[in-house]
Amino acid sequence: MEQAVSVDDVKMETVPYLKPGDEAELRIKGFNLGNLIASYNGQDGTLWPWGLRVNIHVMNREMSRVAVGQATLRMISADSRLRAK
Amino acid sequence: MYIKPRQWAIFLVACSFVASCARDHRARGTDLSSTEQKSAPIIKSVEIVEQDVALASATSKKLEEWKDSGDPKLSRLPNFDVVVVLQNISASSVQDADFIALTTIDFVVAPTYLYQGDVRKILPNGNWSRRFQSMM
Repeated sequence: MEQAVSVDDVKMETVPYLKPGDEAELRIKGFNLGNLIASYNGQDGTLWPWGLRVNIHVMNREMSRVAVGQATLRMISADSRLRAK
Repeated sequence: MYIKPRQWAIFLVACSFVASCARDHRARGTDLSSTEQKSAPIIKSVEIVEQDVALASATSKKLEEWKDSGDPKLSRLPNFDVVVVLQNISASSVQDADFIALTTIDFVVAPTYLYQGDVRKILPNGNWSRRFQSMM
């Protein structure tokens, strides 16, 4: 069985110019997973999105990936949902 | 001192060869400088943070775990931002090109009864994807 997960997750920011040794903080804004949570909100549902992983791909002009990074968010299901099955 | 025509010819050929080598060396040097000094940023850290409601807020709360309350009216995952720290670790100030950062998100979707709902056991054994895939 397969169930597609629809989330608006593809966002893009330009990387600022960096001098040698310099660091820059890039903030990619506006992720909203309300639709995802709502789609698994049924009290008698048995599926839950347990983890969310954001992947960052730094690409050059030729669309070749030059760096990649990830961050993970653990998503704990409600106790009532765990008791449902 | 008399220099024979044959010696002149050898001398001129030798001069020509040395000049040619010098030109090649300069050309290679130019090429190397344009390729070796290229640089690309590295990613030092990636964090998921709660979205700033107040723009004046100096710090954002890092999100590592979120618990659903079970109440549809209360269980709202906060909107979030992603903060990426990039660094140029090369000695060159010549950046290879313009760079862009793209984001994608994937999930582990699994039954609630799996591993008695222990998220720390589910995630290492899960399939990160955009689709639910049975783990059993």
